[in-house]
Amino acid sequence: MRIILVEDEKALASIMKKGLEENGYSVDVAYDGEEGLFMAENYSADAVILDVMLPKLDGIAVLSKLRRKGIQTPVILLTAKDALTDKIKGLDAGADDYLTKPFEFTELLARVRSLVRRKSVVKEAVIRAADLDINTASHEVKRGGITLKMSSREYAILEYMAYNKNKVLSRSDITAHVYDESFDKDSNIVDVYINYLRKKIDSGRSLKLIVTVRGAGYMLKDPDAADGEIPE
Amino acid sequence: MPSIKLRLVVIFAAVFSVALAALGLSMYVKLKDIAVGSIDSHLHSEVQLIAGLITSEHENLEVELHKMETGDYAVALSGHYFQVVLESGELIARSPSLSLANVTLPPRGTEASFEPVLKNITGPDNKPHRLMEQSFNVYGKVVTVQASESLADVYALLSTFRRTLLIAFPLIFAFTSAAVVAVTGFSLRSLGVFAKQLGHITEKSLSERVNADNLPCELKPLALNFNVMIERLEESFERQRSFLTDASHQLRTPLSIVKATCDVTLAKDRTAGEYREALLAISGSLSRMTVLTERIMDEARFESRIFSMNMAEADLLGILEDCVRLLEDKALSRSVSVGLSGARARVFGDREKLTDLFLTIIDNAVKYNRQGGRVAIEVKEGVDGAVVTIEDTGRGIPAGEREKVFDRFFRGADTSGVEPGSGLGLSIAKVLAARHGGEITLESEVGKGSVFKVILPKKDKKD
Repeated sequence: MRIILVEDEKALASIMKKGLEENGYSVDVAYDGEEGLFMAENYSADAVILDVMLPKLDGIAVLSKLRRKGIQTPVILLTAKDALTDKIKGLDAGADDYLTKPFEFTELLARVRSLVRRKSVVKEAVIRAADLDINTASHEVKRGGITLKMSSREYAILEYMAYNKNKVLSRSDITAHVYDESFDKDSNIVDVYINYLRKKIDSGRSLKLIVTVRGAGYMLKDPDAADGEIPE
Repeated sequence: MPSIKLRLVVIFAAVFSVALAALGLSMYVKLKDIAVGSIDSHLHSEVQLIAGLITSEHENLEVELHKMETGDYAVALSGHYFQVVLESGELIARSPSLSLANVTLPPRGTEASFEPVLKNITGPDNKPHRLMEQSFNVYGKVVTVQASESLADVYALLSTFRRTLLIAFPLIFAFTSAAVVAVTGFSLRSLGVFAKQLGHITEKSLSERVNADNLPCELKPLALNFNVMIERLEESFERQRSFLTDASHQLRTPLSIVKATCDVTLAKDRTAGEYREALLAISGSLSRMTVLTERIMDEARFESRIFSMNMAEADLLGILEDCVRLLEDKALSRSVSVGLSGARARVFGDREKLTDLFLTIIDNAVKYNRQGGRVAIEVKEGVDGAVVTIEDTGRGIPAGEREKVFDRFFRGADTSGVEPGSGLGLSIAKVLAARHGGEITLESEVGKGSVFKVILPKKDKKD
């Protein structure tokens, strides 16, 4: 999952980026409203964490501009103001959630997860595909009840595929949502990680869950899904 | 303290009862004088008349009584008597009212008086009487004429009068006291209205004012003063509220850094280097919070001082001379020259607070100046007030920051870390200028310097 963090306080932005990255998110940081608006308009992020008090363009203005352009990326507002009117103003401008500084980092993570879930077809914290369980809160992955050890990058890719299970995802979809802007988009690193995931999840099993769709990309297949989106 | 109403009623009752008693007494005395006086003048004319009726017959004196033996004199013990006696005590005539009952008036005094003598006696009918006796020389003999009249009617009149007063005065007293109670109650009701209006004003509705229009003119100054007081309270309250909001907002950022750093670092095991990094970040934030806490204390101290202004006539040039003297060392250490020029200008203000105001601005002008720079202070007296211009050769303030320099906690982007400061100085200076009815303006050019102008109104009539 890819997150844009707009926060002018550099010390806070850097520790938040670190914490989010350690939880498997890729994070792009903007230090003012204009930069944040640019990123939110041009990067395919899964969520935006937006501070309200920002230089150049305040958070509420960034949010209004985004929504006016029809960009519906979930936005969590971060602010030092906890007056009710400020919350109402933020939510009216199109924020999906609100967090008052200082906040529990685990709460921020939970809210980000919840927003990402809200957007995806999966509504539960634990995503299932056949006998594969992906716990988005603890980042624990099990197949047939056996825990599989994952690196954070492997987990990030798997989670993105799980949120979009039974949907074909191109390589560029995956890189856009799993890696931040500093990533070299021409590399074949996605294929390498898909290979690792296959080894951990599918090797030695008759039911293969990670499917390659030739010329299109990859897909996490959930044979039990009723939505019939499984391509032939 | 007893209530105003009770005190008014008691004072009124005391004054009114003394006045009533004095009036009653003087009326009583006057009435008695008039009644007795009329009897006296009647007796006087009777005595003269009887004396004129004395005639001499064969050396014997007689009184032509037939002229007097009518009316009340003809009825026995009627209360109207006269008798005529000789020096020897021999009775030569008496009114039928005496002779019919065979009584006489008491004998004459030992010395014959040719002037009328008046006395109160007990009459033959055992009633109080007024008696007049006068001696005359008639045909070589001393004859004394005595005439008396009963005082019963006068006493009856006086006792009726007394009774009337005893009934009327308590009634008048009760009635007027009730009127006083009602009038004071009515007058005090507007105080009640006033109190009720004040009662509605709480710390949440400080924008409300007492409506002085419906109050009697005696209470208007009170209401207006209350409104002035409420206005100051509101100002101070508003400042404190916005200060608290600002301060808590300012505290949240370093708190968030500390919180996030702890949460993220504690989420898993870290290397010693990572822990050190986290502690450094926390320490940095704590320093920021310490500075902020000091600012909050400063503000609290300022708030308690600003409420009481000690207004008096002050010499602006003298204040500025003090400021320059206080900053001499600082200016010297930065080789900044500070010049002061201008006329003596008298303003109406709080000397201490005006010193604070100028000290802040001049201190900034010295602090943010270049090495070897200059600060020029000039006092000018205009038509409506004094203008103090403080011009420096510092780095200037960018256009975007000019408005904000007077905001609380604002510090210029390139000043933080360069010079110690709270970010409160100019915000306080602005409030101080406003409290003096003046203002501070700022012109600045980046790279050249800034010009602060403090405009203070002339010695004020109001306040």
